[in-house]
Amino acid sequence: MSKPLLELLIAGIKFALVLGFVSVNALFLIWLERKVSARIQNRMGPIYVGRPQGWLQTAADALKLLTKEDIIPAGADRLTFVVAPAVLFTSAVLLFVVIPFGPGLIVRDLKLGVAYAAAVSGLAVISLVMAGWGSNNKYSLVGALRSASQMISYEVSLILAMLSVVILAGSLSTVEIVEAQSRIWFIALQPLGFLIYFIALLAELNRAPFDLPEAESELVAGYNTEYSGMRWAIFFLAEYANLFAGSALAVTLFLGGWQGPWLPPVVWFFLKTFLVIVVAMWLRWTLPRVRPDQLTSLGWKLLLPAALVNLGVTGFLVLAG
Amino acid sequence: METVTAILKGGWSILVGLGITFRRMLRPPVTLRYPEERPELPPIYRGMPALLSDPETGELRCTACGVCQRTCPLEAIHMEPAPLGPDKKKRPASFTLDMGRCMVCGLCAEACAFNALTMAGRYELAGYTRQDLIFSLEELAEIGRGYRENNQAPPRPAGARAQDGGGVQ
Repeated sequence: MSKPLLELLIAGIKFALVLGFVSVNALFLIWLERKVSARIQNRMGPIYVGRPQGWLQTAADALKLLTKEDIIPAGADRLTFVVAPAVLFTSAVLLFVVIPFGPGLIVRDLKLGVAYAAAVSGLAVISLVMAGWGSNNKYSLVGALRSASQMISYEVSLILAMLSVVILAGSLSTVEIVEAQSRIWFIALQPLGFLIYFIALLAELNRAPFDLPEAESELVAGYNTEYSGMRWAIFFLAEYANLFAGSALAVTLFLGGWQGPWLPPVVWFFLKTFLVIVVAMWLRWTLPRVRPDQLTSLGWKLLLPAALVNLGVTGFLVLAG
Repeated sequence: METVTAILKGGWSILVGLGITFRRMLRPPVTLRYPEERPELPPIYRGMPALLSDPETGELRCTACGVCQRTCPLEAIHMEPAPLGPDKKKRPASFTLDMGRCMVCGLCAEACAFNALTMAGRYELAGYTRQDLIFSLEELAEIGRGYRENNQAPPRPAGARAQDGGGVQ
């Protein structure tokens, strides 16, 4: 076999692995979310499919959604409507390229890994606006516009928080950032940076308390109001794939990535990531949704100045010594 | 300065909220998995009406006086007295209860002066046909087995009626 063909094959296998992992993991996360919410509300959550804890429930749901009728509204912009879920899922999968699961366990160690992650996660908003516009539904459009304004306001703080880590590590490569944390995790040096990153991440992922784009009580379901069946399932899967990717990036940037004593690196990585995810779920089922004006004022008036000051102080301290 | 205290206060309130939900998470679920698990009913639970029997003789206590039939606001009860036998005791010949009409108010059991009618703990009252909802004397006696006292007529001190709001204004 010729060399380029072999490389293509390897890339294909890697892609299939990532895709399989993303899907299965998203199914697991949906189950976990339902369980966490159930326990917080003193309920049981799914218990029947896959006894005793209902761990097959989400797989059954996915199968059910696959068999459902594919509905496209009459007034919809067909192309954008059809493509939107795929764009969101793609942006979620692309993020996994630069996530180091362990030493050497990374799809591709890009030199500009962090910049790449920021760029790719920004793609998600395009998909949501496509979905909202394509649906030809006022609720969808309001949800999409909200998500656009929200993502723009929070993306800046998110990236500034990431940049302060980059300054500390002196590299944009995710692998090198993890290696730079062998002595001390960056959360100890950047507590404010982590807080800003985490808050901005929740807003970026449209998760409660910042889930305005899909605010059920006012917008039916936000940008995915008109979606059903498999397209809706892809939105749902992508949302949780994004949650995992965002949490994995938080672990990579602030919590020392795969580093940790005794246990194998991959185990450490997953332990930390799931810890971040569970905290995000815990927050979701604790806090009520904020108002749009509170959301934007928090983003622009508080997080952005704080992130800027944090970045400036970090840069100054690194330069000074 | 005001902003800083507001932020700190807000952050603290979030932590308090997280603490509450965390403690909730540690509690066992309150769910009763209904068809698999059954609720433990309180003794005065008001299910469908049923006829009580004397635990010693096994005979129905009903004397066919017809008070329940007259009390029932929905005319769900129809009874007929049997002709007097050699022992000169009054018994019902038939006693039909239409659960399709019954609203489980419990007035019949409350009105019964002979401790012969109770509201049994049966709460699965659905049927496939209207005929399924009509219960005969024998069926009501069967349902009432295992119940000893009329649970809708708790002993009350004389004159207590006006205070508990049960009286007609």
